[in-house]
Amino acid sequence: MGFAHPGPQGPQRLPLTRVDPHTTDPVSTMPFDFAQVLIFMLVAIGFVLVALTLSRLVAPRVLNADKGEIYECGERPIGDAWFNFNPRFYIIALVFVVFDVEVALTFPIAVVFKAWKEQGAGLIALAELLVFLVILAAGLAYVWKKRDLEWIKTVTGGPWAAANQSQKGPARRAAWEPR
Amino acid sequence: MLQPAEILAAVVFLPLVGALVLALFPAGDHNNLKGTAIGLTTANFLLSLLLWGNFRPGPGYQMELNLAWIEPFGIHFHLGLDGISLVLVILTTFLMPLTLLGAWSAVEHRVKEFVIAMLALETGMLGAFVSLDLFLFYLFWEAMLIPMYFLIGIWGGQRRIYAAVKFFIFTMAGSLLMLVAILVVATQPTGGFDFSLATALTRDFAPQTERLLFWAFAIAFAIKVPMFPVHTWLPDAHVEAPTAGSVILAGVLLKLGVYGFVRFAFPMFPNAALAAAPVLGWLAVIGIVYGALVAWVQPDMKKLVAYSSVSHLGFCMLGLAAMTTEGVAGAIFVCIAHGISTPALFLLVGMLYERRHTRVLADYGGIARKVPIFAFFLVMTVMASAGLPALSGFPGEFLVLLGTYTSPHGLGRIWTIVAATGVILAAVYLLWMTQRVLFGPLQNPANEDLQDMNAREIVTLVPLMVMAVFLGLHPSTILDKIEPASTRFVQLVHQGSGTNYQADAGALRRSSGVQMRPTTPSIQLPIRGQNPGGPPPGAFQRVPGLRGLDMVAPVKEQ
Amino acid sequence: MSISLPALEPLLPGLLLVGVAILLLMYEVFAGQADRTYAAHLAVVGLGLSMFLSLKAVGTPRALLFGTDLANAPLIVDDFARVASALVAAAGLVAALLSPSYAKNAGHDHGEYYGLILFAVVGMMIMSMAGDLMTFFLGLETMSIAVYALTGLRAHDPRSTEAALKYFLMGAFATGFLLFGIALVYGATASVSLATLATFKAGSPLLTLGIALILIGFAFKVAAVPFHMWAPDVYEGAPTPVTGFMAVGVKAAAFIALLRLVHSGLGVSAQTDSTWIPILSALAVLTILVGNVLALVQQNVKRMLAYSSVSHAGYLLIGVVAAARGEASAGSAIIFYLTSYTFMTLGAFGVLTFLERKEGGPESERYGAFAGIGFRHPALGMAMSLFMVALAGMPPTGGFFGKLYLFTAAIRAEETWLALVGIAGSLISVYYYLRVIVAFYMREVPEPGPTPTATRSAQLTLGVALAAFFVLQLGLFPAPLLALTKSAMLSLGL
Repeated sequence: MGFAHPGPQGPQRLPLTRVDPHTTDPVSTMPFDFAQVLIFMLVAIGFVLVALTLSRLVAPRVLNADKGEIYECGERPIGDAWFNFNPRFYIIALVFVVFDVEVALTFPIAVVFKAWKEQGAGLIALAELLVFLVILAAGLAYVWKKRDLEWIKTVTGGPWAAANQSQKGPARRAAWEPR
Repeated sequence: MLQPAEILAAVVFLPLVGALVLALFPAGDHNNLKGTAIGLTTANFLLSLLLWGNFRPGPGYQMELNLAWIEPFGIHFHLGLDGISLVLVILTTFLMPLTLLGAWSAVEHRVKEFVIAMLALETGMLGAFVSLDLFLFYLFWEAMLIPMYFLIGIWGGQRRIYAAVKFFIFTMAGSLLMLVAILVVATQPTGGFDFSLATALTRDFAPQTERLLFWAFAIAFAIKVPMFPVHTWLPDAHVEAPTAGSVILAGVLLKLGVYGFVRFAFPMFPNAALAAAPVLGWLAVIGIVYGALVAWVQPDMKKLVAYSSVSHLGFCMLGLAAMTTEGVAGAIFVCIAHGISTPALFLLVGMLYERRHTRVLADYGGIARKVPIFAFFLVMTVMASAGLPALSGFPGEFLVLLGTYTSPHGLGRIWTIVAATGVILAAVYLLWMTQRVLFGPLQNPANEDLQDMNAREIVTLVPLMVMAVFLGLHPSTILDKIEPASTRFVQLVHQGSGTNYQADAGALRRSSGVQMRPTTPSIQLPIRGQNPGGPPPGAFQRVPGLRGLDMVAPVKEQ
Repeated sequence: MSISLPALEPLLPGLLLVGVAILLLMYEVFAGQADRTYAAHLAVVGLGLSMFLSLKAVGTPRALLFGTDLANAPLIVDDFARVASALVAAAGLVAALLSPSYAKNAGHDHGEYYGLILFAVVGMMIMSMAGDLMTFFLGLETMSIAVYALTGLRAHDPRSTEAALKYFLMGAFATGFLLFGIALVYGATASVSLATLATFKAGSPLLTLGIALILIGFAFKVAAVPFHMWAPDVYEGAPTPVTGFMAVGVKAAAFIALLRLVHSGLGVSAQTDSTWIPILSALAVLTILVGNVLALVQQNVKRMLAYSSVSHAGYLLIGVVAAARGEASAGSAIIFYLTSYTFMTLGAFGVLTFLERKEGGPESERYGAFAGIGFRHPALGMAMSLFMVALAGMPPTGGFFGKLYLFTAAIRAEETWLALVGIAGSLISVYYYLRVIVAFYMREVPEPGPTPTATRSAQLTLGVALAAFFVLQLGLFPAPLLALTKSAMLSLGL
């Protein structure tokens, strides 16, 4: 999502007008531009190396069971790190995308809408935005109707339904519940 | 009334149309299916006789049908006949109904698929013989492969799948090489494409390129013929194929290899062809002797006949390598003769196999007394195949040996001597087979109540026997058709390569010491690059043909 | 600002599909029926209409859309894009026809299935229209995500789940390469527009590296060796019609996008940088040989077809090499080959769909399972023989003409040796394609034989018949398609 929300520095970092390749040849100057990145990378790597080496040299070493835990601060992890995530988390994440994308396009249009209106293209921009929102709304309606906005969902149809019926569970059983 | 060119197209596509119609027939009605197929192929044979009637003596292509087809690629639907194509087309249409009739009782299951495959095969073969466009030729050449593959693979013997796949892969390997060569030939220096044979004949290539192109074509055709080192698929295919498959394979399919050399490989790349002629000649001679020797020791009749094909087709290739009119005309004649005697042999072996379910020579012996009609036909066929004078096998082999002996390159005499032993060996292995099957004491009790040939089987074989006798007595019937085209072929190759060999139809008469008619040499032929279309119609003066071989009075001159 | 609604008209084929897809989804949740055949019909009508619109527009001037400056427009709707759109729509159409009975049998008869096919087709269309690398990437992702989901539809079958996961992970990997490559190209040239990229000459190592990574991403998508490892498992596990769809659609879209890249963007670099031709050639040769040899030893027909599709990617790469050499007919040959490949592969998968057994499973996909089918179901047997013969590149099929065209282009680009390698590959392929025919016709039929036609339906029959018709039509009368491909390449300036 990073590039969809350009930060305040974003536009200033890049030249607004494209370099004309016929007049100035970016290929020849490019390595110099890239040198900044290179220096940045070297500094980053160096910082990590220095920090690690330094701590290895000066830090006291106390080996006990608590130090071997994942969270050194004392929080004991519960259960294994390898377990099945509930797939509904992913569905929620997907539903979130619907709203996220909405903002991603609506916000920039809102910013330039006034300028467009002055050019006489206001109605078109509005219509375009509406079409976009209708499509997103259709997506929302779809997940709503599919009851994916509810955390507990009854599975009907498909192989899981058959599996559910064959078991002695309650008739209304959430798909994500551990068997 | 149809135009001759339309008759030609009809002859090629009637079987395919018939196959499509037969696909609608109920699968259970075997007699109806077979009967209709035989009727169709017979009708096609009669139709093809119209081609014979319409054919004017001359070296060029006739009854041409040239339709635009795939314009951006310079591909045309171009059919046409010269004498060589004509006789091979007639041979194909002639054999087809007989083959189907011969298979009447041999093929009892999957009859519908069988007749459809046979008819599709016929269209493929006929199309390949009359295509004057490289693309079209390749199309038919490959299309022919698939029905034959089914014939071997479905109705064949124990190891049919192995044999079918081997047949397919061998042929395909050659074909693909040829495809690349065709693409190179068809790509014009100007940037466009032209797949027509006429254009291909006018093209010149760098010597190295020409050599590669020639061998690409030659390998494809040599596999089909089959020539000596690449013949190994043939015995397998023949032994495993059903009788009908063997008949068509030996009768027609192998001829396509020879035809390919005559029509494409040699004239398109004359320099390379002349340079390669010694190699081809040696391979042909080796094939003749090797095939004969291997045939001699075969315990299995079908394998024996298969190897005899290798030997006989060696004569065809030798005639081509000799590059004389007699040699080439003889080669084509051997093709026809072999296309009559070997199918008959396969049919006879098939009849025995149907009765006794064995093809091993040792299982027979002395059956002549039990099956006199069969014995008569077998002896006749063997004589024809062995090249006994007055039967069809003789004139072709004689012409090939003659043409080889007078060949302009120096190896001709050695080849003739070695190849002549092949003729002797052919008599040896064929007669020995006949003797072991027909004569001697009847020792195997299983042969006691062997049934003689029934009416259907006799009807199948009689036309073949009649042709064997007729062509033996009066070979000029087809030599007249072949000879102008053969002469043209020889001149095309020699002129194309710049060697100024005067193809001379009179050479035969001079060398054999028989002065028949005054010679009319020097046929006007197109010079490479100047007149690609061949001589204008009517510019050709008829040469009186190779009459010296006729055993009966020469036919009246027109 | 040149934004106005009529400017969207060139996008109508794609927009139509989006509309149909949304309609499908809405109908599914609000008025869904148990039998989703209606969804298949709707999708087929939509795809057919979209195809018709694309083809109808061929010959009209090209449209540049959405750019602030038109020379660098992100969407280019020219004849090339139109022909390609029609091609991928046709692939989707046949795939949709193959699906209803299979989906019912396999228990994934969802209306969303057809929606996903439509979205994938839209993604492919965007790829073919892409005027810059970001648009291309957008189309690629639209297509890929839909296809990932399609692959895993048989969720109760471990093979399908494995396939989906594998395809997703490998696809994400490839996407990573591609995106990194795009980033490097941008770093080197300060532009992602193909038109601007075309003005750069080779020489910058960053540009070279970027193109290399983009090519690796492509190689993953078309399953070129050595980036083919995912293909057999994914093809085997995915629902059979989906396998057909991804084998042709994804491949077609990727090659078409690559073609545009080579001809209008990175081609200049490819021509001036002497390292590309050898690398692409090596890729082509490896793909052909490895694909064919591995297909030879497969016992499962679907896996065999997977490896065969790898080898077909190799033949197409020969065309790309010729195109990179500047051979004008190569692009045309690639489009032709893709079209015939689409029909013959979808046809083959259609026949496999027909023969799918109720119980499914890998056993029913082995060669032996098809013994005697050719006689039990003569029409199916003939169709399968036709498709196999076409895949082997024999006349009179579109497969033959496609190969002929492709190899001719290679010869004209003075890469005859590549054509020979392609021919050698075709020869190897004959053996395993024949094995299918051997199984269908020549093996002993077990008694009593199973009747593996659990998934018969009118739509399926129509799909296979359409495929068979076009395979023959393209082989015997290729001129109409040749004209289309020619005008497509003309619109790229060739």
